[in-house]
Amino acid sequence: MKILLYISSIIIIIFSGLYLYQENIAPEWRSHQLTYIDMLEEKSDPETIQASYSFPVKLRQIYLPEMNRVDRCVSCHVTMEDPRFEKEENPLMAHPGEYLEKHDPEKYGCTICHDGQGRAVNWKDAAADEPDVYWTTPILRKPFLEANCYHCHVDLLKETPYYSLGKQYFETGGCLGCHKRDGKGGYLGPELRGLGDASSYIKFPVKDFNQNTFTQLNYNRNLAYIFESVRFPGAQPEETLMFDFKFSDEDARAITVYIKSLTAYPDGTQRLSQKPVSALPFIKKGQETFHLYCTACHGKKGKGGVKNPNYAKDYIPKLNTLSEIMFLYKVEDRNAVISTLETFGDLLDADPKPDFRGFFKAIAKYMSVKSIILNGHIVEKKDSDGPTPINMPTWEKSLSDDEVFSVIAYLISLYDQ
Amino acid sequence: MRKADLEETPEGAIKRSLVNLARLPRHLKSSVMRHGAKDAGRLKSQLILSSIFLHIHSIKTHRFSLRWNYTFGLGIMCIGLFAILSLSGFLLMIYYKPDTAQAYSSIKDLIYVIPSGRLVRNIHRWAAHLMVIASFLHMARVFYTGAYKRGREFNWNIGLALFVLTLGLSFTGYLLPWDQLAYWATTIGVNIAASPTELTDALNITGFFDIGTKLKHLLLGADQIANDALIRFYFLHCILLPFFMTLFVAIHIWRIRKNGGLSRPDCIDEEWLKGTPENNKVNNATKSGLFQHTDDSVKTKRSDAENLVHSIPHAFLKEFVAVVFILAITVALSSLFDAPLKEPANLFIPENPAKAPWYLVGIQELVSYSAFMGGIGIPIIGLFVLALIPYIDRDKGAIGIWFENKTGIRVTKLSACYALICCVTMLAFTIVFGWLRAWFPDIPQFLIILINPGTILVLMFAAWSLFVLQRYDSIRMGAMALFTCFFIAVIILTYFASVHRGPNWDFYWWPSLWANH
Amino acid sequence: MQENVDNTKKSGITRRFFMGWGLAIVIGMASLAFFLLTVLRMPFPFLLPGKSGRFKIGTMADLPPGRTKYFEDDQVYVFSDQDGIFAISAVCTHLGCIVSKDDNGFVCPCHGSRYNLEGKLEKGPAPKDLPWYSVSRLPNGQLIVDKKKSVKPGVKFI
Repeated sequence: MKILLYISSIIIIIFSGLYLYQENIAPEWRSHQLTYIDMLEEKSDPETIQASYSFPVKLRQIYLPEMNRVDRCVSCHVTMEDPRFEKEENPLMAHPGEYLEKHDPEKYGCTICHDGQGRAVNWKDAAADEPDVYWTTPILRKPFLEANCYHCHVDLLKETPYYSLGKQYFETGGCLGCHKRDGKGGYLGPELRGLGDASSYIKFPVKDFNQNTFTQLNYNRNLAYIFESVRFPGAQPEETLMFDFKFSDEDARAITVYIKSLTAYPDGTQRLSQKPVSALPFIKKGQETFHLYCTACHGKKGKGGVKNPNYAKDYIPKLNTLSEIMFLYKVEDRNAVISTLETFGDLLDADPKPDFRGFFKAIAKYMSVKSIILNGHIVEKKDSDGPTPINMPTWEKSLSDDEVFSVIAYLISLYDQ
Repeated sequence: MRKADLEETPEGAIKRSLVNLARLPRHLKSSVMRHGAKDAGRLKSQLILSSIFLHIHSIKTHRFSLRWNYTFGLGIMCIGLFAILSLSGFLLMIYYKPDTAQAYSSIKDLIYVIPSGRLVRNIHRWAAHLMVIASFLHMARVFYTGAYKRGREFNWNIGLALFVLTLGLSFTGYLLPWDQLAYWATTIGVNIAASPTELTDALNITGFFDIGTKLKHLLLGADQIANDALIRFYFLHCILLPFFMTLFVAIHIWRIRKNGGLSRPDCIDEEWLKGTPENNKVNNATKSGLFQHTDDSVKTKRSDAENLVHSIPHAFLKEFVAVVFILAITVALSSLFDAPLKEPANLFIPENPAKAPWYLVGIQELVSYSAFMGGIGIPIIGLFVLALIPYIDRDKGAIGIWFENKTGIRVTKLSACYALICCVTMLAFTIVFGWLRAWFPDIPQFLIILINPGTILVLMFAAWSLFVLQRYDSIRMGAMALFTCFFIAVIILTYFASVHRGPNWDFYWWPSLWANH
Repeated sequence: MQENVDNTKKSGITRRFFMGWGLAIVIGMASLAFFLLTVLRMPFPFLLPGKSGRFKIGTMADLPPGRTKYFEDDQVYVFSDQDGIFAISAVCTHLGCIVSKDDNGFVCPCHGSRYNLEGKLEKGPAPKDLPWYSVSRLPNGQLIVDKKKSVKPGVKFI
């Protein structure tokens, strides 16, 4: 009994002591701050030597209750705003670039741009990017960091080339034909808004789909999932309607950056936009709408050539021949129809009606095209037991009438090109 | 010290107040202790007689009760763990914020920047686990030594209530960190509570008597686990259940004292007293009554009076050792293994497998056959039988002896083997061949509630118990057989469900074989 | 009741008992005490939630002599004159109201305490002058005011 008491007491003392040591003497931030003090003395500027004496070694944090954030990164990164430490190694490196001048860390904190776990006070947990542990927001590195700029900024920034490229791909590739962005778009694929918020556990890529890629994405499961879906749509799930667009790794990365920026939470900040949105010319608007919604299936400029699995005619119809179908061979006729669409909207509402001979023939075709766009179209199967081919979705709810007319006008205008 | 009050007091109220102020330490001491210094024997007696805390023991303790391998100190370890849990719980409450938006981050803060926060959280977690184990073993100890007999029947039931409260406290604490583990384990637990709906559905009376959903709403205050549920669990965990726990612990201990201390055999073998503190003082006085205990020089009427030793220091010391020992285990475990904290709770992505806390996975295994029978039926039958045992088993058997006699040992061994074979066979059968629903897809749910692996196991155990009852013509043996079966079944089901059940509640040989999620 | 403090009457068994156990009990108690000290640190946090009290006020170029700025979030007036830059608290030392500035100094709306332009108390119930806060320069040229550090009135940052 006595022995048991001795042993137990010693165990209590040892383990309590060990804990106190770990918590108070061993932590990383402590050694970083001590190194900082040493380096300050080396820098031999009389004023700063004074500063090193008044620099207490202690935990530090940036407290941002309105964003429910507490960023303790500053416990180690104490030299963040000190230009003299520009050339030092992390964590005692000055923040590169001029970002902190416009984004006062006291007001914005760190994780709002970099992600990671701001509450943690050791690098491993703060970075939160271990391969086999599921963290909510692993730290973002270049170029994926760009995505977070657009949680607040709306206009393109010159510092974010990947994002700009990704956005361009997205908006000319017809992604919205199947996906929704901010609640607008098709319904064949999943909604993309909030996909970038998906903490790592929400969507899982196939873990070993490409270990190399996974490593390049810093073990960030959210990024890996987005990247994989863009680069290898058939990887998971295997039965997907999404085409393999054969993006290069670099392009897929740019698109990943763009999709990562699609957040459902504005982080407690306001969207910043400087440029007023100007109204586009009618045809241009049709082109933009077509790029956003249609190019994925009907091809760039409506040239077609996209294979539809198990579709009786194999290829999704091309649309750049709409003018011919509507018997609008003459430039004047086309322009008349386009300007009628622009002025009156629906051709049926035109008053006065354009005065050319084929107008009533054109209007019949126009009616059927409009009906297919608005109500969709179920296509014929090649093999009646095979999988369902991609059907033309209905756009009645997602596209405004104006957008539909402008797309038709754009398709008519494609005749020459 | 009463003399102190009679000491000369000077004239004048101011002087008197000043004198009283000077005497404050002495008066304070006497007001707490109620007596001054005494000779050793009387001091020890008075200490106990006059202190509410020390009075839980009688002045003298029987040497037999101090045998470490009679009780293994399990009861006092439970008390110790409860104290550790209370202390760590108070400290955690300082920082914890019971709100779904902040609960998770307050736990993160505890882990990263609160002084000793991680340690205290780990201690709270580990002490809770240890308390479930210790109270379970304590119950087994009390059962196998027959300590529920002769006036202790009620205390056995108080003990049972304490066990249920322990599980309740552990379970309600599980939700508070608001991580995935917490959320989904609690979901399972709450759905077990809601499982009477299965029975009322089968009886087709859910329309006007939906007790399952009522229970669920009582626990959650909503259909889903959300802020209301968090507050309710917080209240249960921090106020209601600890209140009853404290009350019942007090009754439990008070009853032990009133029942004459720990149970012990009528005739004590010298062999059993080896290693316990000796009292070689010859007692020759003849006083009786309350004073028989107060002085070493007073002889008691009891035949084994020479085997009584002063509770101070002997009993208190052993208890001190037990408490320090359990604290050492808790602190060591807490330093070595961190309490888990997964991602913040996500209402849309279930954990797979979503397992209840480990002490409830045995029940979860039964629930996988039939929600009502496994979750409510069998546990209630089990508790009911446990509660009844002391009232049925009123044989004049020996108490205070492990397994009573050689037959008892044999019965226990046989029952353990029997229960082991039954459980393993039943589990293997269910895994390989499935159950009724797999063979007759249209079978009414009512039949499955009645006939499922859980109920069959219960019937097998009951049959075995009746057989033993008949064979040895002893209620005690029958009870022992039944309790052993229950004890083994709990262990096997808990082990099986924790280790061999993986995603989708499928069978796996080892958790490492679970498909990676 | 008798008063008996003669310890020698303790029975031999007890004394022997304590001789053996004495050290063990002391160590046991010590371990409990150490454990309690370890966990009872918990109510005293390393980091306090809330503002750090340090805030940036811009560079020297933003504060030419003659300039006065009020920082509403932190309730501090920052002045710049020929001798340098200085920061004065806008919280009345009486009962914590926010003082307002006029040409002659500060006046408290609650109980009419008056301070001159240097924060010196002129009249009213307030017990002392408005405190001056330390102004210093970060290595990147930004000036910061630290509300945790007071300086003597008249100390200006050049």
